Amino acid sequence: MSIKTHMKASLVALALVAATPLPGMASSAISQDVQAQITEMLTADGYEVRKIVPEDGMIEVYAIKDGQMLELYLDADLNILRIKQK
Amino acid sequence: MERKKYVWDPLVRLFHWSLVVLFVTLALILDPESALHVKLGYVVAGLIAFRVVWGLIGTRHARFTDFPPSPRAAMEQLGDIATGRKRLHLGHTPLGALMIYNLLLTIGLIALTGWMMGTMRFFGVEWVEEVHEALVGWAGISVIAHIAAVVYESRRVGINLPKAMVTGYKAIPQEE
Repeated sequence: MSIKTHMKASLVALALVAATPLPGMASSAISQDVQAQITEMLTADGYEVRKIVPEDGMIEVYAIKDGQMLELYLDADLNILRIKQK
Repeated sequence: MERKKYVWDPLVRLFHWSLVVLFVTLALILDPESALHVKLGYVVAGLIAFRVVWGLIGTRHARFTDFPPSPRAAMEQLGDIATGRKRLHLGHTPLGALMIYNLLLTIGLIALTGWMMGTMRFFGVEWVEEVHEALVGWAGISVIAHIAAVVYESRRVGINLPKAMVTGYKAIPQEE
């Protein structure tokens, strides 16, 4: 292959890598209103809320409580479905 | 006719291919939130730490002094490529050196930001995760360029460089 063909092939490959979304990337964010609701609700319960993102059709919350790092999974009605300790 | 030169010691080679497998596994295969992702991330951190130490005290071509970062030498190598001159570098070429320092630094920072995400202070802090992901993207681009460059350089100088990183030996073509 000539230098030019090599370069073209590399650039195509690069473009594909750059365009590929990384696994776990959020498709759309949780609205500010809902985030505020969640933060208020959990803070009242002793959590320090760090981040709120969509994950697998649920709402994932990164929070800290009693010195533990936790991931909480909420449904659309803001019920806590699951708590994962990190 | 070819002359065989022993260049890469077993630890450099094991380091290289372990990193290849781990990088692909971590960047493309595993769920980033999995416990295994974190554990293998620590293995990568250990590999990078090893390579740095080996770069200081290891075999001749493994040492950083054998391939110092030199923009001047890199420019010279580009000149060689442009004019068709084949200068022999037994170890890493100047351009290769820059890529290696780029990869060591980038992957080191990926491991560092990954570790940070598991600390109380940076848990759930957005910018750390974003930097982590951006660095992985940059590493991916660098890896593609690295592979393309190694293939290109192998053909240009007539030495199978990937094979040399497996066997440790470079088969240097001799002028007839």
